[in-house]
Amino acid sequence: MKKVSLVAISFVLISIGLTWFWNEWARAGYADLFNAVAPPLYELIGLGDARVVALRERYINFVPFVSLVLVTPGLTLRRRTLGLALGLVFMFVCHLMLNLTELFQPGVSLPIVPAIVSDALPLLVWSAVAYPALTGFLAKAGEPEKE
Amino acid sequence: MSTAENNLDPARRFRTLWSNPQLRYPILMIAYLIVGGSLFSLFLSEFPEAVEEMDRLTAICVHRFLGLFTDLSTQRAATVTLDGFAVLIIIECVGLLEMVIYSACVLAFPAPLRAKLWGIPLGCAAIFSFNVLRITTLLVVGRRWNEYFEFFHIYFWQATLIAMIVGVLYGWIKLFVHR
Repeated sequence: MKKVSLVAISFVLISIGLTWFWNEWARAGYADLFNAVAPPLYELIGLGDARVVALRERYINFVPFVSLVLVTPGLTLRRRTLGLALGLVFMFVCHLMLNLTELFQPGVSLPIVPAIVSDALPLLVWSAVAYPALTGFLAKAGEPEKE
Repeated sequence: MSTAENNLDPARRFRTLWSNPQLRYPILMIAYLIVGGSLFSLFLSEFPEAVEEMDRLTAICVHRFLGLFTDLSTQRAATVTLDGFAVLIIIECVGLLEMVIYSACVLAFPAPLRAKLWGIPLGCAAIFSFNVLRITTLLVVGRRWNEYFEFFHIYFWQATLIAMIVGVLYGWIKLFVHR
C-alpha cells in the first residue's frame, strides 16, 4: 500500500511539473514543430488540404504518458528511456494522424471518436512500454477463476 | 508440420502473434474504443436532451457535495456557482469519456466475464464520484486561487483523466480479478 501511495504521489508531482512545463514552453514549441513537419508530410501523401489550423488542446496527452512511464516501478533504465523516446515519437505520429480529422471537422476540438482514442493514447502506449512490469498482473489475471 | 512450414502458415503466425498479450491488449482496446466511441457519438447526436440532463445531474451532484461543507454554493441547470465563481458543466466534464475508456480497458483485459460484469458498472460509478470531486476541487481553486484556475483546468483534464482510469482499473484488478 505504501508503494502504491508513493507511486501515486510521484505521478501527481511529475504530472503537475510537466503540465507547467507544457503550458509555459513546450506547447508553443510543439506547435512550431507541428507546423514545420505536418504540411510537407500531408503533401507527400496526397492530403495537402489538411492544414494545422490550431494545435489541438488534446495533444497535452504527452504529460500523462511521460508521468506514467517515469513512475512505473520495475522497468529497466534501457526500457524506460527507449520506451519514452519511441513512445513520444509514436504519439507524435498519432497526433499527425489525428490532425487529419481537420479535413472534415476544422477547429480546436477533435471529433468524439478520435478524441476518445487520443485520451486513451497515453494508456495504450504506456501499456506497451511498461509491459514487463505489467506481466505479473496480466498472467495472474489470465488464470482460470477458482470456484 | 515442420517449423519452417509453421512459420509460413499465415493462420498459425496470426495465432502466435495474437497469443501475445502485449500485442493483443492494445489492439482489443482500440477496437473497443472505436465501437464504444461510435456508440457514444451516436448517443450524443440522437439524444441531446439526455446529454443536457447528464450535465445537469453532474451539476446537482457537485452542488450537493459542496453543500456538505458550505452553503455558498448554488446550482442552476448545468451551472454551479461557489461564492460568485461559476463553472458550466459540459458533456466532456461529466466523465463519460473516461467511462468509455475504462470500459474498453476492462473488456480487453484477460479476466473472467463475471469480474468484467461487476467491474464496468462499479468502476463507472467510481469514476463519476472522482469526477464530482475533480469539479469540486476546480471550483474551490477558481474561487480561492483564481490565477491558477486555467492551469488546474488543464491539469485536471488530461493528467487526472488517466490517473482516474489507472486508479479505478488497479482497484478493479485487485478487488475482482485477483481474488
